Amino acid sequence: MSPESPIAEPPRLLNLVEEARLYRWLHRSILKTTLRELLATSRLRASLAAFMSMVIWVALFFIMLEGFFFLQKEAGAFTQETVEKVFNIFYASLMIMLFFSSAILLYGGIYQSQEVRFLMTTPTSPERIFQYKFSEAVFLSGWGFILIGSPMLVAYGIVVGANWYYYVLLLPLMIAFAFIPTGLGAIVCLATVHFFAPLRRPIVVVSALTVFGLVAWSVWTVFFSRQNELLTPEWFEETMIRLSTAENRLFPSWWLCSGILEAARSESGRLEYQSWAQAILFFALLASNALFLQMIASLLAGRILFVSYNRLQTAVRHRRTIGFRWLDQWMTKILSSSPTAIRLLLIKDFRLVRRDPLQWAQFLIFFGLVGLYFLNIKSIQDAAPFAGWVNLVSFLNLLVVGLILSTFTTRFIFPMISLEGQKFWILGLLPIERETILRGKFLFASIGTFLPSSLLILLSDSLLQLPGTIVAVHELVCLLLCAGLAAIAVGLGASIPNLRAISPSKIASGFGGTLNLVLSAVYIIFIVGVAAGPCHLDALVGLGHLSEFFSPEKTQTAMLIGILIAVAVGIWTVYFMLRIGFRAFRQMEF
Amino acid sequence: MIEYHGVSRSYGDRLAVDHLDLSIPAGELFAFLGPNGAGKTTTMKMAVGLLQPNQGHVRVCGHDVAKEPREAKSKLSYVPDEPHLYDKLTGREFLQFISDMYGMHGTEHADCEIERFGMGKFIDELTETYSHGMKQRLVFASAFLHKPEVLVVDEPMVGLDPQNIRLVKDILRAQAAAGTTVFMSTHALEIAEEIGDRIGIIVGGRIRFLGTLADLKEKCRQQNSTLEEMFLEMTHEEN
Repeated sequence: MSPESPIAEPPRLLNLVEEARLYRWLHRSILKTTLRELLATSRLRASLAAFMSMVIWVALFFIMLEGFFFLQKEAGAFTQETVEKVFNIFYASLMIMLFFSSAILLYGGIYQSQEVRFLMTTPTSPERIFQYKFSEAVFLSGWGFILIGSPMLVAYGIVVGANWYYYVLLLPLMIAFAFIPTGLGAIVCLATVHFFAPLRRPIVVVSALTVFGLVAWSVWTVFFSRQNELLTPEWFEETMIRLSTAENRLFPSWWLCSGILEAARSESGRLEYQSWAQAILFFALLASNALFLQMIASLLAGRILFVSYNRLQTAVRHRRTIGFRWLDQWMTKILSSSPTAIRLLLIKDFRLVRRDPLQWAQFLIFFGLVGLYFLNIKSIQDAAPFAGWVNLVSFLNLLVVGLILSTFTTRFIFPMISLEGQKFWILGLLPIERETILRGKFLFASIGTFLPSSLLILLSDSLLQLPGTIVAVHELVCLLLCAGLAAIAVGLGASIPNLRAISPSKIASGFGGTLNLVLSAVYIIFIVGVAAGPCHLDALVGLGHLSEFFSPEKTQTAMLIGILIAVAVGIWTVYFMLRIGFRAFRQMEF
Repeated sequence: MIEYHGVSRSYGDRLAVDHLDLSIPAGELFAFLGPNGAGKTTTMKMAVGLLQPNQGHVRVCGHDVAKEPREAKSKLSYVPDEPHLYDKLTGREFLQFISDMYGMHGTEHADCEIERFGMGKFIDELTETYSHGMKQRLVFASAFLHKPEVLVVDEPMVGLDPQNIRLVKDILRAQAAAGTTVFMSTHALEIAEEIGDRIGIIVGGRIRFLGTLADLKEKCRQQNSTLEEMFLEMTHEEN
């Protein structure tokens, strides 16, 4: 082996154009390989993701289309002024979301990434490192923005009979707009780290409180602090007035909305070119500001990226102390009568979850939002023109809770086995049966999900003033959902573990996670459907509908049969999924 | 060459490197020893531009790393203890990326390193499928592509099998012989003993010993102790 390498030309520093070309090549190569691999090895996941995106887009499109037609024909509220207000509120909200999401994405992408640590040891300029990560942030936050934002605009174009250039201008307008909050987010991210690196914890807390405050204020303004009844024209008018701040002409969202509305406008006596010329003017305004902000951010990165990185890396790090031990002691007391091995495993999993804010915070946010919706459910009952709807809504609530639970079990319970697998030797050497480990996880997931879910269902039912029998049926179905979903996640997690991945999100987004999500959805729909169908029929007959076809005795028998089928399927699912999990887990080598 | 002049670096109140003066000339393999948390990695990170000193300055081939980072970095290569590779690139694509980054177009440099490190069998596979040893070979190959004047290597032997350890030792020695400044940190005294031209022992951010192996052995002889005993004694005092 010779240490000499032939060097045809000496190394040199690249100029900005050459660097840009090189990093574009890097992005392209990674994207190409990722797509190729995805199509070759994860077709199910890729198809499911594409299908779900399409479903979301089409659903949003038709909701918007119907909504616009309704406003135009029935409510007579489809005025230019109303549309402007709605668009401005919608895109101002998306602008705020894009700002925060891009700031967070860039913080993680630049300051917490191993890749940037590597690039910083190479002669790559700080401007290029920033641009490289900035383009990723624009892509990651921009595709969601286009997915959510475009159905409304396409629907609007159809309703007002917009010209072809309206549709052509939509995408450039949206892309140019997406760069502005991302650029602002980048500047704030860089400056915050540079000047306040040692204060990152207070900054995170203040930012979280600001976001929470904004959301709470919006919800309060729209739903609670109102003079008029919910979902009436007066309530709509009142809400629009309260949120009129979004129409500030300095907001890029106003430029976007104006560009869109100008492109769609076709008034009599107005020359055609005036519409697209105005729209292009707003596009130029958006694009020039987007480029300006990107340039400012890039220049800033050139000056402070290395220094801010250094400040963050060398800031004081507080050692994490172990607080809230009383929670473990409380848990130990509650579980004192359970077998020792199960108790120890449950307490271990409980500790891991409570010390990982990512897990319980997501659970808290999801269930908090559902709780908020349930608290406002009284108005549905008051406004419902048909009493049978109340019963239907209560089951739909159950479905919502179930579907949220399924995302939780897929994201956090399913990967638990894979993550355990990497440290499996610890458990594998313990003098306990391997089944006990899975049983512990199943109990942990079932109890952990049943407690908040059953309380939420109880809240929903009591606000809807449902009879005791229905509440009991709901609680039983909730128990079946929690146990079944936990068994699916634990059983599949043990059967198809991903022992190579170290990130739970990667494990959850793989084939096993996707299968878990699909099976969970099928299970939820079946259990809720089989229990809700006869129950709803019974409620309808009780209200005097369809009584010529069904007698109350028949519907009650059907209700009982439906519940028995749900219980049988639930028990079988738990048994079957745990059985295949046990078998796979017994054979696992370490 | 690498020069540290009165360099200090702290993390909050904790001083990690304390008034370090060190110069490593061209063609020398400098072995940097010390217990965990002694300041080895912080010292190295300042040479490669990942951290900046609170006081003093670090120069690489005459360029101040904080003031002329690109010029300094173009002269060096850094092999960290946990190197980064792009999972979705093949080994060949990664080498091409690094080669292009230094403005060296064409594939001959990469081909030469592939042969030198015996990577022909796996170079066209995605790096996510590589073992630790294969990854380390690729990282070293990429580090040598632009023929750096300074090579900074943090714990290069961790997790390698005996064959790869031999390979890395030979490469580092050969690089130093060819005129490259090699700055290597290690926990293993025997590795420093075997391949180091000069040894530095850092404890609590301060250099406790700086000299050749012969100097260290002489010190041991005077104190009637072995190298290991001497090392443990030096590092124990501070702890």
